[in-house]
Amino acid sequence: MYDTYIYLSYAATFVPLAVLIGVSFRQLSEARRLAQLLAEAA
Amino acid sequence: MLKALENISAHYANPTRFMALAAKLHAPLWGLVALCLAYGLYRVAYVPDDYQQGATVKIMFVHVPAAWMALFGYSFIFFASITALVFRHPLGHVAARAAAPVGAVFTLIALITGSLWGQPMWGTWWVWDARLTSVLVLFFIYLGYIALWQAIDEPTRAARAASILAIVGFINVPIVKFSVDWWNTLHQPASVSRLARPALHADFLYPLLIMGAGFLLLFLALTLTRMQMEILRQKLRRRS
Repeated sequence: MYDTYIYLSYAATFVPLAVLIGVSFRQLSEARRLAQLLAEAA
Repeated sequence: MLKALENISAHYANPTRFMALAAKLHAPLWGLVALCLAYGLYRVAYVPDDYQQGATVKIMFVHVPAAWMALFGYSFIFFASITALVFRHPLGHVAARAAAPVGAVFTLIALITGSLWGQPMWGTWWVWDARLTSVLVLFFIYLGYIALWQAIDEPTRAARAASILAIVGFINVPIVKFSVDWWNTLHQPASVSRLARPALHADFLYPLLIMGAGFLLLFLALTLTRMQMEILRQKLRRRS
């Protein structure tokens, strides 16, 4: 009876967290790449 | 004890040393997050229905830890801002800025999952009671804090303005926590923090605490990852 609310709650929890994890790792690898490029250029 | 903390804090004030420590902690911390959340979700799957809430009690295992992290996240930003502003710790602003999106996402999750629990249990998605409203205000403070960092181009001025906002905004944290005691709210009072006699049966309490530990580890892992990114960005800004 309440399954929809439960599934929606877990989706509303883990989808934003997965997006935040993905964005954070992508930003970190981009910063690492730029730092390495700058170090090589110096 | 305080002296030891002071020494550790001074040692890792050097961003290079901190980056070396973060690199060592990165993989084990994310491994712990995965293990803890997987075990927590496994325990939640076998939680019995509550005599009043039925199966919707399962929503509590994400809603409550998310709400804990919303408050913990803001307290973390507050203490990091104090450390930066008063003690001039070089990583204070970095830690506060890194934690802000993490805390904001946990606050948003607490609001949405609370609403998804409220509809079947209270018969409404939202009421303007003290707890719900103060958590919504907390979410707006998080957004304001993030926006302030982006609105000011000069990093030192942005850091100072954001820290002042973080410190002033902390007044909302005790309001959120004690709103259920100070005002007549539809939201129920605390069930777990009464350490002597928690109002929860062990069947519910232990999975909730495991999920809480998983969310705490996730908060720390995300903040650490974002701190590494912020330090690298700072270095890039200085060199360019």
